[in-house]
Amino acid sequence: METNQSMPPKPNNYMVLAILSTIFCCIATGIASIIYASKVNECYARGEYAEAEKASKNAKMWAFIGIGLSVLIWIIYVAFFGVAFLGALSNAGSY
Amino acid sequence: MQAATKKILVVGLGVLSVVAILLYFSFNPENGFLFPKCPMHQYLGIYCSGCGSQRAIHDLLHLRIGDAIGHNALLLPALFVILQHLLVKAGVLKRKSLLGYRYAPLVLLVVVLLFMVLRNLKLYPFELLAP
Repeated sequence: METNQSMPPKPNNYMVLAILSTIFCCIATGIASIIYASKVNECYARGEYAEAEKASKNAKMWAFIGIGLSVLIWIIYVAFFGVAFLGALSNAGSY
Repeated sequence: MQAATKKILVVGLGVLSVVAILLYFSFNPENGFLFPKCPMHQYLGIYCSGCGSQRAIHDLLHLRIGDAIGHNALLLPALFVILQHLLVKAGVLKRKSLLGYRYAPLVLLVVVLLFMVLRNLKLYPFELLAP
């Protein structure tokens, strides 16, 4: 790839977060995040830095929406079944 | 302010991960209790690309690699790619991160979508991909 002297470094495309969001939660938010990650790379390769940075912000936002949503669902679920969980813990004895 | 927020976030996620690992080690998500089911599968009846990953994590923590692949074939490769990326970022590996390539997001997108379509097919080789 040719490097442009005046070009700042490529904005983060948050691929790790996108993958985590896709595997552990929501396919929709994960896919949105991946698409924006792709857009970061494409815009940057074309030299459109401002666009790349905007896409980077969107990639981050969607990844965090996905991860936040899954953590939220999980906490609500655990809280909801907390009583059953504690009961099982006291009955389990040997783990 | 920003640094402090980030610190709290990192510590919080760290604590949450340890708790999650302990839970996923101790309890089998197969039994359906404590762990939320995938809403996609529950309400739409289709497997998404993440379906089975909770069971796969339980399998992995018990070193049952075969079962983990059976429940979600993408989990292991995904963890490998993330680990490689983190090792490169940390300076341990002197190679290019697999996620650093220009077409990495595009490849990932195709793989995820293809996996999702294939694992929903009720045809012989593909139904093995179902969780």
